[in-house]
Amino acid sequence: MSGGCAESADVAAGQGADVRLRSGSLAVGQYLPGSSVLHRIDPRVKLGISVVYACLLFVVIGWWGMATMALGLVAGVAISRVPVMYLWRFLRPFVVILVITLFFQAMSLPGEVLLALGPFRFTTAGLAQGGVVVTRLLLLLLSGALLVVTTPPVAVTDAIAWYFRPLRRVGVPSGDVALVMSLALRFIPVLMTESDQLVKAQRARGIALTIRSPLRSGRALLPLVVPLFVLGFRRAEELADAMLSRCYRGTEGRTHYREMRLAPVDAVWLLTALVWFGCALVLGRGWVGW
Amino acid sequence: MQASSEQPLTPSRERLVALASCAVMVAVLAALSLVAIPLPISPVPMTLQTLGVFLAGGLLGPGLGVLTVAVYILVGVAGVPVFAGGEAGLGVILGPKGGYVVGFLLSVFLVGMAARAVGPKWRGGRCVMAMLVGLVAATAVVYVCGAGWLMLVAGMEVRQAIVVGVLPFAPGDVIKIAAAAALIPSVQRARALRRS
Repeated sequence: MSGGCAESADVAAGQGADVRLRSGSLAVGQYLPGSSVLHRIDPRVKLGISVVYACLLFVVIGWWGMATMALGLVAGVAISRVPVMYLWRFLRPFVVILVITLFFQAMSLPGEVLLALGPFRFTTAGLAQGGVVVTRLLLLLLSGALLVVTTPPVAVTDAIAWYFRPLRRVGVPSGDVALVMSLALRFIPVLMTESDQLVKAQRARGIALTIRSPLRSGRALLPLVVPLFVLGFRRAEELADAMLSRCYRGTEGRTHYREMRLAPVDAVWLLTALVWFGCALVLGRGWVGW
Repeated sequence: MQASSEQPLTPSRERLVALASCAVMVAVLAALSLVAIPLPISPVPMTLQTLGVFLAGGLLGPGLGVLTVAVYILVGVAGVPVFAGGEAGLGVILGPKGGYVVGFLLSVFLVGMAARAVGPKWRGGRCVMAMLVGLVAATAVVYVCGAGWLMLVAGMEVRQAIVVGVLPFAPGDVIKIAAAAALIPSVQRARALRRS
């Protein structure tokens, strides 16, 4: 009985993914189905490697370490066979802030002045340091994007829930987090569509959704936000009733429609990643005397 | 909120509605993050992301509010484009703008505490003042986390971080604080009407 319930809940989450793909505004920056080796690695292994990679980017300093980190990621992109232009979409929103960062960094250090534009003096040392900082941020964004592009959201949330499980002992409601995550995946496309319809409906009634004065802002947003919340909370109650009437019995001991299994290949990838991270650490922290 | 072994297997309806409300709030937060409203006084268009965070705290309380924002962050990390401007991925959280998103966890707690202190009675200027204090504190926390992380990750100085990471957002946030103080009682009243 409970197995059947779990299955239907997971199937519902799967349908959410379908709705998401059909909705146009949500198609940007998403999972790209594929059959590459990178797509098939266990999501837990992939998530673990990504998180360690991201943390390591802050530990590794200097060009040699950065180059090792970048080389591995480029190899990963090549293996995944994801078009580079698809990944570029994840970086584009950050271009402005990265340029500003480089600009400030280039002025921050004293030394040989490479270029002087009015009050701005860009030094070689500053530019080199800025280069490392910007490279680090680029790799950070790119690694997160690669995980997301090669792994469906449901698989990533399952992996997150798996890592959260031991935290139950220290009082983190990991079962609740897992449940709310899978429900949220289902609700997001529904409410996106509904908010879109709300904006159109209110515009059709002649309501201008622009704000002219801060004092009247609350009133301006009222016709958009209040119905959105009322609709949302109504759906929450309907869902709770639906789950109870289908004998939902809590997250304890629940089975999954998609089981995550570690294959020997995953161990190989984990080992490869460890060796790669080791190399980056050794080169990046200057532990080799040259 | 604790999942212990003494708890009955079937959760109560109340608890399930609370958890489902969190999931819905995550979705509302995602929808609001994508709404961009042009402002005549600032070059940066205003998204309703922080408004969603304020409302989550004000309507769900501190505990469920924090759960909502935590799941919002995790779902974004999992690749659903829920962050402002439709961004997604681990890089967004650890990248230059990540401090704001993590700051939401603290700010939703503050707004939740303020809403709890104010209680269900909303009439009177004193209650509005208390809510406003909570909202301003929550916004300040977001700025401190956001600008602090910007300094750490992008190696900026305090003044640079404020110019890049605080000033462009300030006009929008004044509006959103005013809006949240007005909206939280409206939504609560609308929900109460529906129940009766």
